[in-house]
Amino acid sequence: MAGSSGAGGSSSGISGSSSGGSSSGSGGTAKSLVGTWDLMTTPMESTGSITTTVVIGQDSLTVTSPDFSLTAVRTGNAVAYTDEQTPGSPGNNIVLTATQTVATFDTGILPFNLGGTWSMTVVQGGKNVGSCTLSVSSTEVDGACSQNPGGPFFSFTTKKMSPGTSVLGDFGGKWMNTFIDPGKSASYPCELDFIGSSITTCTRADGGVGGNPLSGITFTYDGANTASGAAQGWAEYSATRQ
Amino acid sequence: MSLRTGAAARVCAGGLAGLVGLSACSKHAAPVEQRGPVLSLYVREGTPAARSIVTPAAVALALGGLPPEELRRLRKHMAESTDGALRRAAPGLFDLDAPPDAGAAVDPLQQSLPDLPALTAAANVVGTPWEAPGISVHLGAGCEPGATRCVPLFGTASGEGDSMLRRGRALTWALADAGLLRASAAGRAQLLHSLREAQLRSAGVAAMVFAASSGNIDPSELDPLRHEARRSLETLRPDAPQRPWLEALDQAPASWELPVALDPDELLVVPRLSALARLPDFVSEVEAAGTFEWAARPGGLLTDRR
Repeated sequence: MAGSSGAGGSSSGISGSSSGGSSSGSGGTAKSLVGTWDLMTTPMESTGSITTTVVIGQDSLTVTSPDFSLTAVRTGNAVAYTDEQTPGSPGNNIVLTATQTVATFDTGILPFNLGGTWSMTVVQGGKNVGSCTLSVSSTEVDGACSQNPGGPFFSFTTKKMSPGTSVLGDFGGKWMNTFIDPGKSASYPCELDFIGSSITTCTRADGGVGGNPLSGITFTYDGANTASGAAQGWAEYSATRQ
Repeated sequence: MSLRTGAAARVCAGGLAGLVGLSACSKHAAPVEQRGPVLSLYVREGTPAARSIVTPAAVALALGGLPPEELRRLRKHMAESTDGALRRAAPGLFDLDAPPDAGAAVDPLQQSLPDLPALTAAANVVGTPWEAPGISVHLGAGCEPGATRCVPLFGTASGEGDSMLRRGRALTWALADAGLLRASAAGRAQLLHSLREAQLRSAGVAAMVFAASSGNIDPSELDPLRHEARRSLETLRPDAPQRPWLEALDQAPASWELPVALDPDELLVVPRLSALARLPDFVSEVEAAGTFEWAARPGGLLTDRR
């Protein structure tokens, strides 16, 4: 087919001066998700017009939206995650402190040191409300959390079924995650595929009620400045690096 | 392809007329070489005020961008969902023989999930001005006075190495990454049919398809939808996330209108938000639907159909 005489194809209409720079914005490179991102999602509630800002650094993360903010900062072998659920009301903050015993694990474009074993405590309003453990290796990722009070909350195992090549390094391949809900004495399997520049998890078949929380997730990175996908089988998102 | 009258009122005087009009624009904004809708990008300090983009106009546009038969399916699933909610709220009034948790298994409304990408995309299409911390974007027939940058709406590349352009296009994703197709009268109906089949596939990447820049929703389809929206609202808790959508549906007008005009031989295909990192897949899906010429390729992507 022959082409278009309209607006198609060319960028020659761009006016003004270019800001120049690398092929990836805000300090990032195509081989890393490092940078500042504008995150857009399926609109909900009254603040649907506002984008969320996500800043990804080496072992650091900040998520700022009108409704909440989340920061993760590493100090030595410990990472502190602070979830400010009500902006301006730090008394409601949830702080998760994770201490790592490091082991080798290639996370690819994800600039976070995740390999090894982790021990976590969760504090809300000055009270210890829970604890978790996590182990991350190239063949298995397992975790468990307990509530305080309340006891076992959930646990999961994730075993690599077959290797594969992925922009997420050692995550590459097909995994089988089994989420265990001790309250219901139930377990929910879910296949997780990390292939190429995409993540695809099992279809969310239960209408969103219960089941494996990892179901219904898709993620694709275009290798430059855009990532997009869906969560919970319906909520869409797209992120563009500034 | 041109901008619709309402939006054109915002552009600088004479902008439609080309050079004469462009000369009336601020000298800060360089001329735009191509005809057609233009995005005017502004640097804005601070964080914009929150506002809802889930509006009756957005819902009407989404309904206009879906296959007509999808409206009946949506109504059916809304009715079943509400009936299920009522059963759960007052089981004694309904089927007493049903198992205790029968209504909580699969909400029929979940079966209408293919419609959500259209609602998300429509909210973006009519979301002007598009704003994010540090940037604001307006759509017009020409470059607005005082704009920091201007860029054609359609067919522009994604702006690798150009942060402001990249952010501006991303904010206006539903139109900026849309595909504009030109089809002959002979193949147009089949192309439209194939595109609308594709948009309902759960793995599809198209959200909305338009064969005209404005239209009306059949009252015999819209009125029952509004009725079901009102029924659903009565069963929902005040903070239910779907409430804004249902309130907008209850007030949706029968007429819908794109902010850009389509020529009689043109079709507009809008991608899903979740597919923006997969624009080549979007291009492939559209090209597989039939015979046409690209008037503007999504994201300025080059394809075999040049």
